[in-house]
Amino acid sequence: MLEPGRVAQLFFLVVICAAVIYFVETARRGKMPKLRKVPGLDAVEEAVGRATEMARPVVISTGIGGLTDITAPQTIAGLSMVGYVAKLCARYGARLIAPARVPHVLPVEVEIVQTAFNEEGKVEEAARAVDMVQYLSDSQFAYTIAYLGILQREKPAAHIMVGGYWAESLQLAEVGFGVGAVQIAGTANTHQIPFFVAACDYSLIGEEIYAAGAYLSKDPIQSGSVVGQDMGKAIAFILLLLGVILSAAGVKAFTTLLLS
Amino acid sequence: MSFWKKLEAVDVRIIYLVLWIAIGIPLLVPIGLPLAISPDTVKYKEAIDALPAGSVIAFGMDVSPAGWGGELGPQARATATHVFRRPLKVVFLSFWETGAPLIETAWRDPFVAAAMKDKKYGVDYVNLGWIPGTETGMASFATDVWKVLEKGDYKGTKLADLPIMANIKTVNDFTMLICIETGTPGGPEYLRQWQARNPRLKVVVGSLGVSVPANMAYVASGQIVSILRGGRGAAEYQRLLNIATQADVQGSDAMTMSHVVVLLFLLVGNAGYFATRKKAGKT
Amino acid sequence: MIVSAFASQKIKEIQDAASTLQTWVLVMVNFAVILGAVMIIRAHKGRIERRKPGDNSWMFSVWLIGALILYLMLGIYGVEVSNSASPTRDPTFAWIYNNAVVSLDSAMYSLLAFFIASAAFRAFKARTKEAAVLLLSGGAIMLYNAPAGSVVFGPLGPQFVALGEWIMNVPNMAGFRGIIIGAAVGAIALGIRVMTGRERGYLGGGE
Repeated sequence: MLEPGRVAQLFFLVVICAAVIYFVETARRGKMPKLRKVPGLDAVEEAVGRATEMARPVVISTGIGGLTDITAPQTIAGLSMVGYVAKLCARYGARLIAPARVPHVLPVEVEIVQTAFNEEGKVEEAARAVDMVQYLSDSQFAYTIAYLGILQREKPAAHIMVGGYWAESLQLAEVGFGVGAVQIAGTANTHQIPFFVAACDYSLIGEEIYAAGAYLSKDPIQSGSVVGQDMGKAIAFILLLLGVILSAAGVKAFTTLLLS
Repeated sequence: MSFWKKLEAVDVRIIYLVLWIAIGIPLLVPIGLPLAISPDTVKYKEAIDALPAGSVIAFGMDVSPAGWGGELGPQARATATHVFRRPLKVVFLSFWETGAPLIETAWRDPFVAAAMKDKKYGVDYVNLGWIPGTETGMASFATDVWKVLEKGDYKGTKLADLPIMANIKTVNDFTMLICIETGTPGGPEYLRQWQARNPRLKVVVGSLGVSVPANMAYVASGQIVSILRGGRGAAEYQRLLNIATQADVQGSDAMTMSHVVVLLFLLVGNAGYFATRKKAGKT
Repeated sequence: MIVSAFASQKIKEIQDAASTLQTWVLVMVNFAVILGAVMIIRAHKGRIERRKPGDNSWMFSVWLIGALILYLMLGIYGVEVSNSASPTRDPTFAWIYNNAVVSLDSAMYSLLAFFIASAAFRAFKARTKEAAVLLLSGGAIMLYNAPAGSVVFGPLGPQFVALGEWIMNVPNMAGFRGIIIGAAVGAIALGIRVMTGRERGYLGGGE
């Protein structure tokens, strides 16, 4: 019935899901979990405020991943950030530019920006959402060079990058630094995290981007899921520890069980 | 601004100019710096050497044009030369639409062309072209090759007319996967979709230098047999196969020079920083 | 899709259903490419219409629209002529790809070398103990990755290579494994939030 080699994986997926659902239910009953401070997320409102004062735009992107592959969670995290930043831009009157690479993410992003501006009562600007979200190209480096052109011409005061990034990450971050923007960046692509850490003012590492939606909305139920996520990591840590100790002791049964 | 302060904050244009000159010199005037061969490259070669005659291998050209020039192109050409020199059945494919045209570009390399001179298309090797769907496409291909390739191969020839494909129905029919990867989908995606279904599938990966640290976790766990480390790995592999041209040697010299220049600037910047801090401490 | 990942390959009904869903998604996603092309033409047509005297950047928009239509036509022609799904069977399409697209993409990628140099110069200052460790390990790995890096150390070359391998195989791998595991668990939690409707930020916010 089950594919060989996937039994243990299914078991732990169920355990992690159960942990997330348990903590969501706990939060729903009023026990609000405390999340540690994430400087990068706290700095977003400050960055948009800076852009408003300097009368320079905010540039935000969700990376070059789509919604149909392994990078979909990162793109969704980026879209959550776009919704939040668009609301702030509408509230403070800052100009928003959102370069997009993937065609099927484009209408979603336009809808998000439009909804955000409408909710803040900026109906006229909401109608121009389709101009704020600029589709540049499906080709990675054609998108990058067009994006760099936007950064050089518009000289944003705030540059926010949350999503799936690849080789273009450092190019965008360096040019963003060069035009004097405050940069907040996050990705779960391990090979690009060092570039963001080196080049940006604030960086979100790995799963911090997935917690962004919960952290920024301060929704207790979403925060509960973040605690569940941390429990999942704790389970992984316990398994690692057990595995190391038992393997060192020459006991192979545990590894065999996990591979079943 | 004092001398030390200037050193701490060198104008980026000076850094770019010095780097450009340092990379340009070996490209114009060959230096011929020595090159130590790393164990990973030796293991990569040995993995292909150890394949029994007649083994069917999948050659994933999952590349974009960006990484082709300096790192993945040399890796792909060297690997293609090696597999064509051996009595193997090679199935070229790509899950990147930009990678499919580069398969024939690799075949046009003189060393690859010489190695495939006595090979027959459709019998010893085939080009399946681009398979859409990224990781989803990989999963579909792994479970039913013929269903995914109803269009036929790269030229439109139906699989029934290609003898090499007669016994290739699922991923279980491949002995090895060679993945030359730019990014996603790449090695980890193949491991999830192909090796998870065929645990006996040996996987070797040629990747960009920047992706090597992330891929090392899979090498350590044994899921990937070995890895070519970017441009350096390509240069080492070419030396092992005796196919390194003058241009390749100059390329690896340029790579060394660029690393040395960056290190020198790091030393200069830190010297300026510490000298400035010491002066500030005194005053 | 989750069921198909864990169910046995022998249960054909589940695998066929998953395969059909995947095909539907592929078709929908590829239709979105048309939307992207329309948006690009619309945006650049607007720039041409809004051109001002003295500003010649509108010519790039003309070039872009012309190149897009030409390459699209060449691709469709290539598919029709070759009766395959590969437009690059057309020699002109292939020539433009190999000589323009590949060269331009490679040139853009090569800019990374310069950006890495400037970012490293700025970031690798030993201001704190952690920054000093980052500087030393970064420097060691840079020399390790350089083809002739170990030559700098003369007779100590092999020891230096061993140090580089240790840094890559022990602390580097430990860090990356931690991030990979954390990101994977985070993606599961986000997936649960999306599927249960608790994550609505990507839908435009609001309750």
